[in-house]
Amino acid sequence: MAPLNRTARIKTLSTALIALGGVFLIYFVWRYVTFVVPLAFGDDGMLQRWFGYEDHATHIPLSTRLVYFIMTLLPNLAAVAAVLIGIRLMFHFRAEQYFHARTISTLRHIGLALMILAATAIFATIAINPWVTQHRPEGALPFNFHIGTYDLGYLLAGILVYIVGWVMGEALKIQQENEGFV
Amino acid sequence: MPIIVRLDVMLARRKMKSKDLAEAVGITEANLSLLKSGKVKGVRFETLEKICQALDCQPGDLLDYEP
Repeated sequence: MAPLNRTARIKTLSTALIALGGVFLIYFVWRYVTFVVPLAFGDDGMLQRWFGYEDHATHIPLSTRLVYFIMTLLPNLAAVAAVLIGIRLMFHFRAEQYFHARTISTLRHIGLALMILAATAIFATIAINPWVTQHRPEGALPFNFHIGTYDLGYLLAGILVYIVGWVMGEALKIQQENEGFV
Repeated sequence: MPIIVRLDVMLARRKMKSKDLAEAVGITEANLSLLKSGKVKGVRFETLEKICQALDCQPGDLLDYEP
């Protein structure tokens, strides 16, 4: 296939992914705002029901709700960052910057965002239950060390993407060193 | 750069044209011109060997060090 067609295909695919990423981000933010925010700050006993309070009218202080909100916010922010950086990568591809320092750096940032996403999600999984249920008359729930396979998957994917980015960066340096040799 | 390429001198001594040397070495005339003017980062041993072979000289005949 002619190189021109390859470039055109990459541009089409990256444009489609930019659009898809944009739609996903809008849905993601909407879902977060309409589900997690009311859960954290709503006064209808939703948080109590969600975390197994027998008395749904038990008062949960604002400070507890706020920390809960932040704990859920951090992995979501990392996810949004990963998608945004992914969109940026697609813009690099659209600009025909395939094996370029900025593109490779962006790839490493995606890996970093995925690792942060996994780390904050794992932390939230462990800490959220005892934190939110500390006001239960029947006692707080213990720490939850059942780490989800999704979170471990994100962590592994993040490490892999970061390493790929790092190796590509080293390869670019080697290429630049060899340029100008006859 | 303190490394001076004396390729043009050797070419003149051997009465060889750049085009012929480029062909013998297997590099483009443009790259040979860059090498002659010292506007390259480095020379591969493989290229140097072929130049020495074509011009019947030593690497020291082609390169000088002037700090």
